[in-house]
Amino acid sequence: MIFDWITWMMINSTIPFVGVLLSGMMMFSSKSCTSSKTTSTLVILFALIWLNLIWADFGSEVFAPSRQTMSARGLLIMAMIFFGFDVRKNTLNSAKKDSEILTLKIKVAAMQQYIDKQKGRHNHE
Amino acid sequence: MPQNIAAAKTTIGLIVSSTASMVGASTSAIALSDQLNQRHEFLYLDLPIWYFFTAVFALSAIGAVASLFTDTIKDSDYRYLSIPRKIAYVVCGFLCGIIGAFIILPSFTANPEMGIMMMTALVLSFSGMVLINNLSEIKRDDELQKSIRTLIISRLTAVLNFLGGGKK
Repeated sequence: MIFDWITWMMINSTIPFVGVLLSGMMMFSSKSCTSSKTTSTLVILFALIWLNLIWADFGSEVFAPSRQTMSARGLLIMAMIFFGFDVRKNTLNSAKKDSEILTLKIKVAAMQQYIDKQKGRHNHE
Repeated sequence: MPQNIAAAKTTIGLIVSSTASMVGASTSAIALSDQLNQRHEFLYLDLPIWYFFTAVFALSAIGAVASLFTDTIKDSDYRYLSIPRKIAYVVCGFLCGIIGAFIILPSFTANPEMGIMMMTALVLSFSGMVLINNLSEIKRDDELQKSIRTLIISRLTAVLNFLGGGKK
């Protein structure tokens, strides 16, 4: 079974790498727009948090993982996932609004053309 | 946990004394090439240590160049980056990675592993470049600076009012 050789310690040391990967995905993905300064700074700060946890896991002689630090890591990664959901939702919403505005602009231009045509016909008559 | 505190104390002592030992090592009789050729085990491979240092340099360059393709820095309809500015950004990101891997990380941990050094170079060059970009945008934009200042001042006055019990 796969659960026989997965230990809590392994989960503890994998979570920071998952977090770094997630922040990289958020920065590079076209579905989550991070061009706003606040969003990109937040993602980068998350990446720095995970880097510091990697330093604590593999470089520190003082740090000893416990159940509390593991649960804190889990909560932190959940916070990051929900932040990613929020960014994606905002990106999709703004994309929808952009396309709506575009269709409305096209409709207005068509109506304007029609009105001009009618006016021209009227003047001609 | 008294043993943890004692270990932290020894770590701080090592950080303080490491600068002195660095100066001593540079003046010692052992040639730099011999030191760079010393063996280090990584992923069951026994490699000379300069391989890892080259990898650290390459990864910080990769991180700096990769952050050009994020939508924070990428050219778009709203902003255009000139080529000299892009080059300056890449150089800054590269320096961030190098400084992070060779100065910040050794000050945090006494003897870092090579994998962590490479990871640090990659992440810090990438994140340093994005942060530098954001800071330079704020520095360039007067309106943004003004709005941040008013935001901070209004929050601070709200907190002070709350603590002092006064009214706005």
